[in-house]
Order: sequence, then structure tokens, then C-alpha cells
Amino acid sequence: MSETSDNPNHSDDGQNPQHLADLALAQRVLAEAGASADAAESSGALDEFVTRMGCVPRILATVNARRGRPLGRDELADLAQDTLILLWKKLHTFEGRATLETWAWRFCFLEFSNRVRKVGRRGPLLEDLGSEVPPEAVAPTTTHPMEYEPLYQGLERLGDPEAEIIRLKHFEDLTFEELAERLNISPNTAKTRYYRGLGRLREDLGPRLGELAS
Amino acid sequence: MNTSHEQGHEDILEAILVGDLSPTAPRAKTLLDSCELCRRQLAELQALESLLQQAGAEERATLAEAAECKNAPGLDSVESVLHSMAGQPTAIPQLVPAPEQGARRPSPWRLLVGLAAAAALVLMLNTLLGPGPEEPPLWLGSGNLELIAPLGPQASSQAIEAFAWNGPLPPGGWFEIRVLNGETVVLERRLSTSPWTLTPNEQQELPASFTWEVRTLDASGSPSASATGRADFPPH
Repeated sequence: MSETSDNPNHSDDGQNPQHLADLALAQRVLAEAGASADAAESSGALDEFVTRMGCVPRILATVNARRGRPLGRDELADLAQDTLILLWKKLHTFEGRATLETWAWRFCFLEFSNRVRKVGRRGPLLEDLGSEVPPEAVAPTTTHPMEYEPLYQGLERLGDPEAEIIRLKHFEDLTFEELAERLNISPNTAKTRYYRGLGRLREDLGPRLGELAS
Repeated sequence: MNTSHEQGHEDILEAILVGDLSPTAPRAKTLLDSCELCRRQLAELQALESLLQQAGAEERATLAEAAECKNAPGLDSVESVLHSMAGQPTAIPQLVPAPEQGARRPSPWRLLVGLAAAAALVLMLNTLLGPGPEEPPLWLGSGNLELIAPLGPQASSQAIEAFAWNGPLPPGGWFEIRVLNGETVVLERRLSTSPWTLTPNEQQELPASFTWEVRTLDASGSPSASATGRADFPPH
């Protein structure tokens, strides 16, 4: 799995080379798929994409383990398929602002939350206590996934450039100097946008912020 | 941000939030001691930051753990799902050649119109001719698999543009479709979705009377469901 470095080597235009490579891969995959009806030749992009998207079932299994295994193996397999289909349909929206895995993680997270809500189960299934992710391999978390859901949705509504700065700051753990370099803006502009975004996100969450933070 | 709030206050709050000014610095302390709105606003923004930090830390930790995860449920079906979505059933072994390069795929609408026309013709023939001496269409099968078309009398081989069926597919599995003339397999295809759209050459290969069967196979290749039907063309 490809991970975003905390100290990435940046390209000349400030974008992370790994992100640019992932954007190019996504574009080649879509081009290959679009041409598949008429052309038998393959650039191998789809195969590479398949390998990379192996992260989806892995992420779902890990989130499930961290949350006390509310979903069984069959439910996880079913969810992985549904999430992959959703990711495929949304692939054209991938802008190379993160790695494919980080992009996939957000879909996995929201789809997992939706599925847990749908099955209405939070406790572990007995049949799955000895399953794919050993208990010692994960750090259990006390925060339920639904508690972050309004945050992700709020960031979606906030939109760029503020949401991007908040994501880079907290989800990629960049300093203001690093994220300013990434975005080709001054650190002061980054700080102003960050503060403005944080304020708008606070207003968007409204009273839910108090519930989430408590 | 609250536009009614003084800009000077906002500047100080921003400086505190981005780490340029300590909350205990005299300028910050003076503001926070004197402005209730600023105190509340700063507390809420810091709570939001803390929440974002937790969410970010969890995202990074989960991605790192996921990279080490082995045998995750659904991992074996990633390839078939994505190939299927890409319109490339290449993940599934091909038994017959793909349509020739440049062959036009019928649009879904054209397919629907074709199937609807075939169904209407079947109904019309049944109404006009009544029950014939021939045997009724064969419906056999096991599991949750339903054949849709073609079934029963057909106007001509050109009327059959596709074989359609309905049924669930197990993770990593595929459908195996066979067209038989007696015991002889005349056409065969493995697909991950219905329908199987025939090429003109495949249409020509359809015998005057044939049975066709669909089997659902799981990722290991074991059949989990099957259904068989029959279709006939009118005698010349």
C-alpha cells in the first residue's frame, strides 16, 4: 500500500509526485476502460489499479476490527464489493489531491458507517472473533465511526480550498509551511484560509459540534 | 466567521489557532478575559481542531494497519469486480473469442426494445395460435436463478440479440452460459453480468431449436445455481 509521506518530495509545481502518479494512473484506467469495447490492447493500468484497490477490503476489515467487529465476514465481503463499485463510479472525480488509498479510505469509512447503521449492530459476531485481522494487530478505538461522519460530510460541504487545507493539516499531518509549499501559496495565506475554513466548518456543524467534542 | 465580531478580535483568535500567538500571551489573555464571545469561539474551534486531529490520526493508523492486513474478506473478488465495472470480462476465462474489433455494441435501449419486441411477438403468437402440439418451454433449475429471454417460440435467429437472466453472483464468481443443440454445445460464454449480447456471427450459429443453460459458479468454480430453458424458431 502506498502511504503519503509526512515529508514528501514535491514536484516543481508543488504537487506531491505520488499524487500526480496516482492521478495519471486513474486517467489511464478510465481511458483503458473506455477503449475496452473496441481495443484489445491493455496498458496494464487496470491491473495496477486492481492491485492498489486491494486496499478497500483491507481498510474495511481494519476499520471493522478497530470498531469491535460489528460486521461479519460475509457482510464485509459484500460491503467491499459495493464500495469498489462506488469507487469505480466516482473514479472520474479523483483529482490527485491524495493517494488513491487515502481517497479510497474516505469512501470506505462512510460506506462502513452506513452499513453498520443499516444492520444496526455494534457488537462483535461470535463467528468472526477469530478472523482476518488478529485482535493484537489493531489499536481499538473508543470513538464510533459515526462520530466522525458529520466531520467528513462537513468537509465535503465546505469544499476547496479551505477543506483541502484542513485535510492536509490534520489528515496528512503537514505543517503550514509544508502545506503552503504543496499548494503554492504563502504560509500566511494558508493560515488565513485554514482559520476561515475552521470557522465555516464550526458554523456548519452547529450544535452537533458540542455533541461530537463531548 | 461572525461578521459582527470585531476584526481585531478575529485576528488574535486566528493567530492563536494557527500557533502564532500563545493563548497565555498578554495580548491574547487580555482579549480572552474581556470578550465572552471570543472565549466561546476559541473553545469551539479548539474542540473542532482536536476532533480533526483524532480523525486524521485514525485515518493514518488505519491505512498503516490495513497495509499489513492479510485475507481480508472480499479481497479475492477485487479483480473480478473492477474488471466487470471496466467492461472487461478478462478476469474471467474467455471460452469464445471476443466480438471482432469495431463491432458495435447494441445500446441498452436497443437491447430492451429487442427483448420487448421478442416478448410481444411471443405473446401474439401464443394468442393467435393457442397452445401448440409442441412441448412447452423447458424450465429447470436449482438455486436462485431465473431465465428471462429467449424462451419459447422465436420469430427468427435475428430476433435473438441477447441471452438475459437474473440471479445473484457470489463474490468472485461468474455465470457460465451454454447453448446446446441436443447434446452438442454450440456457443459458450462466461460472464460476470447479464445479458450476453450476441455478435451477428453468434446469432447465425444458433440452431433452429436449442436449449440454453446458465450456471452460477462461485470463486472456487463450484456451481451454486443453474437454470435451463428452450427456444425454437418456426419451421421454414
